[in-house]
Amino acid sequence: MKLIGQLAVLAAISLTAAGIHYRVVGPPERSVSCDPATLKPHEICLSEVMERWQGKVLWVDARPRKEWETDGMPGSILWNVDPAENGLKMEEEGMQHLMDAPPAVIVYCSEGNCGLSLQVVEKILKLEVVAEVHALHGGVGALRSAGLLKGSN
Amino acid sequence: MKTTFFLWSILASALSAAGLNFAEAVKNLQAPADATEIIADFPFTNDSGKAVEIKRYDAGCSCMAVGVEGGKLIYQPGEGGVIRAKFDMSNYSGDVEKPIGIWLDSDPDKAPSVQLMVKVHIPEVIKIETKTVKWDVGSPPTPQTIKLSVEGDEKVHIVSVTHSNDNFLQELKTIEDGRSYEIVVTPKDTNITGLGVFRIETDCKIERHKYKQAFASIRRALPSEAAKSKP
Repeated sequence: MKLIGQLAVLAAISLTAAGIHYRVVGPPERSVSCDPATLKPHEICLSEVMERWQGKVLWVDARPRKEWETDGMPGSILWNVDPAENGLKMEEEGMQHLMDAPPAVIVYCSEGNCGLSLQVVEKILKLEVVAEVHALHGGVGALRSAGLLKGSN
Repeated sequence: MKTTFFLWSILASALSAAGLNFAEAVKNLQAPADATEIIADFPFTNDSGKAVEIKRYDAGCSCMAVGVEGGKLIYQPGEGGVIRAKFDMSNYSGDVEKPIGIWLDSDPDKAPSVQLMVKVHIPEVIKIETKTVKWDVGSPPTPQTIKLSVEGDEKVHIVSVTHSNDNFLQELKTIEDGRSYEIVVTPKDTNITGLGVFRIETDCKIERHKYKQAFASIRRALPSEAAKSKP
């Protein structure tokens, strides 16, 4: 009984400390950090996309079709390497958009552990139509925290 | 109170520090040209001195199915297991890298404590050197060439080339039978912007390599390109 009481005291202290931290420092940081010095080749930070092109780029969603339909970037096109899709048709449709000569193409995929966008970047670069083709660091997480995705704040 | 605090500390440290030891964190694989799937096994042991639970594993791609052999998720000290990754390569060619995140115990959502990598070389079979031939609006309609070469031991022939835009003329040339081909493309009128899609059918026995695609485009030069071409 004594042990339970002591554990309750410790839990109460922890909760109080967490509450004070929340009040003083604020809620936990949920934005996606992006350090240009640590980017992989062809990766870009969202801040640079907004600064250089004010976000007026061709957004390419490299996630599965269902995810793109749920909360894809407004105006984005679907271009992935999903075996369920017709790769040639997708490339042809993508090429039609590239013909409009967007200043840059920014490919994004799921949050965190996603190398898909870099695969799609390489596919688009091989077409040699647009020079500025990048993978968005942080993927949809970066877009969501900036309130740019459908349904995000 | 000291005992309680000690127990509390033990519990907290057990939750925050746990680990599995992988013999290889990166697997380099060579896929056969006709393979549509390849498997990479990552054996591991729990060398941490305490029980470790695999909470989640994810390759962030519908093309990669990840699982733990036998479905066992909790490993006592000294126990070992295998993470198996099954990669569906249907839509891939060339050099492909696929990361796999493994979340242990109390890993935060965005930071798995184990990162594995599958690196696969998938033969292209038919390689296209120039995927898009381009003309600026109003430029001379000089013929341009799309080059195709066959990789590997087996010969592959081009059966047909069809295109979607009548403003382009095409001529298929055999440079070396079953090995090397050229498609010479000439626009009739470069004052009309447009895209031509060339669908190339081959007799390749591997279905996913049977059809290839190349493009021809006529469009206005971008301001950056126009600036570059000025003397």
